[in-house]
Amino acid sequence: MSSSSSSSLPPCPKKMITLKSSDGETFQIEETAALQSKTLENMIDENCASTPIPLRSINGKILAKVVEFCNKHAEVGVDAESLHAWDAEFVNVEYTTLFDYILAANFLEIPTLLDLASGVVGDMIKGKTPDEIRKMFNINDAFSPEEEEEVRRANQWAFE
Amino acid sequence: MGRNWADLPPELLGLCSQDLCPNDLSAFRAVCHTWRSAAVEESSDVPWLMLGDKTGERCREFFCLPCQRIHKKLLPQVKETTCFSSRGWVLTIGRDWELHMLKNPMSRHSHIIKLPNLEKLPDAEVEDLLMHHHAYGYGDIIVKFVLSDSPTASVDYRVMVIFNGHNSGQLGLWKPGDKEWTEVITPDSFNLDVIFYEGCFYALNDVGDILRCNAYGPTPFKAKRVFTMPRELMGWEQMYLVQSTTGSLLVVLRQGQWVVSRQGQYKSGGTFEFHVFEINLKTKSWKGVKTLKNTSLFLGRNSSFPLEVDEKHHIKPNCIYFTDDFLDISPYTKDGEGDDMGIYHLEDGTIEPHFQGKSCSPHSPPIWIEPNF
Repeated sequence: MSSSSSSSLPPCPKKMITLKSSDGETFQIEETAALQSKTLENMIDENCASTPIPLRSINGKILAKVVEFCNKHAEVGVDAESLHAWDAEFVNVEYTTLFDYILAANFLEIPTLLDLASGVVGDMIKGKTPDEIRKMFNINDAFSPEEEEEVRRANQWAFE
Repeated sequence: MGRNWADLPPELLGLCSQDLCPNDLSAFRAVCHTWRSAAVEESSDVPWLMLGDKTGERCREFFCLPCQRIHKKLLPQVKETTCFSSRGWVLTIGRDWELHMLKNPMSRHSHIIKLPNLEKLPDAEVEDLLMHHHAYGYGDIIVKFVLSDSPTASVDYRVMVIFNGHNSGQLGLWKPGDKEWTEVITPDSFNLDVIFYEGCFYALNDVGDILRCNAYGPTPFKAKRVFTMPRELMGWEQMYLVQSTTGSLLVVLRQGQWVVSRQGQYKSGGTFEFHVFEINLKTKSWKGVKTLKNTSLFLGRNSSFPLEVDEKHHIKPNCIYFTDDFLDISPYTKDGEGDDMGIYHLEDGTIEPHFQGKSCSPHSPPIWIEPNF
């Protein structure tokens, strides 16, 4: 959102920091937005944020989304309901992206994003049988028949 | 590019499992090795509605308030038994007259404690009743079951029941190791409800007396009157004692109306009104409670409990969640009872359903199970 500014005061320069993804893309993020990440906050506090910060475990596609998330959550005057709707749309993504969000949120220590993404995984699991969950998340690390039997016995809930 | 969800660090997998109900958590644990070890320890902060017994089924159905789904659990121990609950434990009364206590059936850790059977209740009348009621279960031999503490939390716990529910409503006490139930001596009135409150059992009888019994004191056990409800608060269909979340003693009055059962008989039911009063035993005074604030009460054939709720629980504040408690176990109600259930809003007196389906049973209608594990 840009405003056709005719104000006499020069805009206060926003302090920006630069993030660099694993595939070499750079992203500018306002310091106030970056503070949602505890990892970045620590770097800012220790004055380590003046040069581009390399994030070797996060690719450009995911980092762009994480920056978008931080910007949205740093916006002033967003009511809880519309933010909730925006969040729901944000995590309406493929499993692989969700997986990357969780790792990125964990690495950057962004609790809001971590809770959001892990909560969505929880929601997807609700009401599913173990088999359906394995298929959904493409998990092949199955139990041996003996273990399967033990799991079944320990598990008196009937999955339907 | 694929991602291996089995390789997500355990603490992150744990996060994904933290808001699951016991049923979903159980499925989560059965996915694979890493998921199994990463799953959070089971816990429960919401009550579940244990639905009525379906004849012949080894599984029992539970309605989960947060996910609004019915979960089935293999529970042959409760099959064809009459059930009551207290502090998350379920008392089962079998057709063989045997009594057992089961740890919270929603938990994956099972634990069963055997209690002296119905014949060990301190009254000769019980035996007549047993013969008389054989075909219909034993729903009114015991009408309330109250634990002082969860047996997994304290070794020195006590069990109190109201028995002879069809006429005299006496109090029976049991402690671990006892071979039989001990009668608690009370004034000659029918006891309607009991709770464990501030280290003692408190009973409320049908003439409005609140009685106190120290179950850890010397024998014989006596329940002494500590308060008498004012006359204007009497004449209600059902009365409950509840400890509020702030520790005060509440009396809840429930009013129903006479309705015609499917068999064409008149019976109590159709709850339409509740009133809540706070009792101060020290000053022997009482006052009406207009709002329960962020608390809701869970009443019925369970021992009553309050719960502080918020949005996360999917449970509404300032409400009374009730189950059918006007049970007339008789030949006329063979199809079962249990349909007088709902959520009563204290603010405006409206009632809405908590469980949309129908769940009736002649011997074991739906009951609340307190979250306790």
